[in-house]
Amino acid sequence: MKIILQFFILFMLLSLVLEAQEKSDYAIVQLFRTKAQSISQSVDKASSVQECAELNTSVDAIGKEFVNDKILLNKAIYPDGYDRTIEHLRGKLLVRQKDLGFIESQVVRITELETTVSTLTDQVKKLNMQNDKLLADIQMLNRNVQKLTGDLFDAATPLDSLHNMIVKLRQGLQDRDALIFALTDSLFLQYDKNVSDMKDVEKQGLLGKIERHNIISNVKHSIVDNVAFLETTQLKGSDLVTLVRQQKRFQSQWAGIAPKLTSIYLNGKTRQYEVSSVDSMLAVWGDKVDNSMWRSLNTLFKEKGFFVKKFENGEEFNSNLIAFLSEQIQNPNEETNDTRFKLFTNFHENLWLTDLNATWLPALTELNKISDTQRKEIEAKVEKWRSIVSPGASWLIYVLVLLGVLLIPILAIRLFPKAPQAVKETSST
Amino acid sequence: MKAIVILFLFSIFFLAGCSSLILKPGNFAWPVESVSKVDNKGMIEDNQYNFSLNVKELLYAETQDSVNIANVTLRIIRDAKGYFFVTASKFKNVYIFEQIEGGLKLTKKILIIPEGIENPAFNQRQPYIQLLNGQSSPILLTKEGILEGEAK
Repeated sequence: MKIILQFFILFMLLSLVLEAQEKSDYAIVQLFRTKAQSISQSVDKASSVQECAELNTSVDAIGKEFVNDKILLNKAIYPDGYDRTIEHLRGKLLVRQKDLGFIESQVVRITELETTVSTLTDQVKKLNMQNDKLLADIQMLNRNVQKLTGDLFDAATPLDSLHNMIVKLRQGLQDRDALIFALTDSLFLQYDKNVSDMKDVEKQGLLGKIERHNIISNVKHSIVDNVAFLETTQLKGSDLVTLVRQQKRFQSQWAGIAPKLTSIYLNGKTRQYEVSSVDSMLAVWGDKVDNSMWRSLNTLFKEKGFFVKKFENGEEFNSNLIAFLSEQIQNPNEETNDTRFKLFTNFHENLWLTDLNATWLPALTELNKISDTQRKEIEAKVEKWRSIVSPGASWLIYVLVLLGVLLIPILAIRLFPKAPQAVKETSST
Repeated sequence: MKAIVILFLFSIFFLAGCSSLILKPGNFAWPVESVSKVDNKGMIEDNQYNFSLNVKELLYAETQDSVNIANVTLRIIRDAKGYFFVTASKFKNVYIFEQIEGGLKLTKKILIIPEGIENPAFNQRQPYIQLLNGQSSPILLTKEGILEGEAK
């Protein structure tokens, strides 16, 4: 038995080793040679500090990429091997930098930014793949559960695995959005000046980097994914508010970089169109997110049993809610105090405290859908409704009135006592 | 007696002069395979390992075609013992040669796949030669044949 087990382990190990070594050594050597040659040629052509910094990063990258094949390369590439090829590239680049008169610290700073850019690009790529997979999984799971449950199901149905995936994807989307803008910032920071002050060569260099790192297509990808996420998940309440906030943040970050990109793309109509197409995609996303938000709020009132007239924007929301609250205060149907009190308690405990005042009103104010004054007006109306229907308050009023009625004669007796009897008697005598 | 002694000494010197001088151990392994295109004359040339070879006969043996030989890409690797392993894309076999004066002599022909190997590549995995065959599992070869892996 022991021998069989040992044989099995040996077999597994051997399979793993064989699987791991499936790359052709010749292909590895050729790839290394080609990459090193390409960097070497680029060093000869480099003319700006940014190009030198970029090449510095490329040398680091090729070093990292092939470090595991170092032994093979040292044997296969005669006489330089891995070590001397890398060393040679670094030396050549240093000489070029000196020839061009660049200061080392400047190159180092830009190299650091370039490294950040590379890292961020890799992370964006990974997140792109991860998010795509999660979105596909969620869509598939949605379809499967819908098949099983029919109309009873919506994406808000508590299903642990689906919920976990949604949370993960939402985080992934947020992270990716942040990375894309960090990446773009790092690219612009390398030039340390406004786009309008850049030389044509620098603009070209920046343009090349923007395209190489797929800035615009990543932004578009992000918007498309966010819209798909919104449509697939049909989130509600605070989850939806988070999505709205995310859209607004994205929009404001895009507003920060769009003018810069437009001035970089000054000579290319197609590229300028790319920037404006992002604007329109963002507008679509904004509309969808707003529609979802109003739809979710309308549904919330309906689900909790409060008949607020349908609204589709902040103004309508405010006026319709105020109208509803005013109606409750005025009581045109002349409902009994008990019914009114029950309705208010239901509203207060199941809608006002849990959703409206806790999540929606602060969010709507923050997102400029309603003003501070409108929010205060709504709060005042709710307070008034409470004061009118509250039985505690009316009981107190009755007691106070009763006390008042009792106190008035007592006070009157005390303040205006009858004339003393003795004086009367004296006067008669 | 004197004649016997002279004859004895002569035979000792003669035998000593005839015995071969052997240098061992040796390692002739190439770190990576040589990949060369066959020209119109059936020749291949490698700059790294610095050799040239006429491979017409090999191509005829494999394809039965000695006319359309140009642009076939041959892959050759030498193992630690000095044997040459040769194959190419669409070849059914791996050919093993040993060096002789001014050429190579076939010692073994190993059938890998009757339909032809898709994307062959040799790796040096001492003491073996590893043959990669597209998506299939790699095969370990020695001068005697297949050591490990799947031949179809």
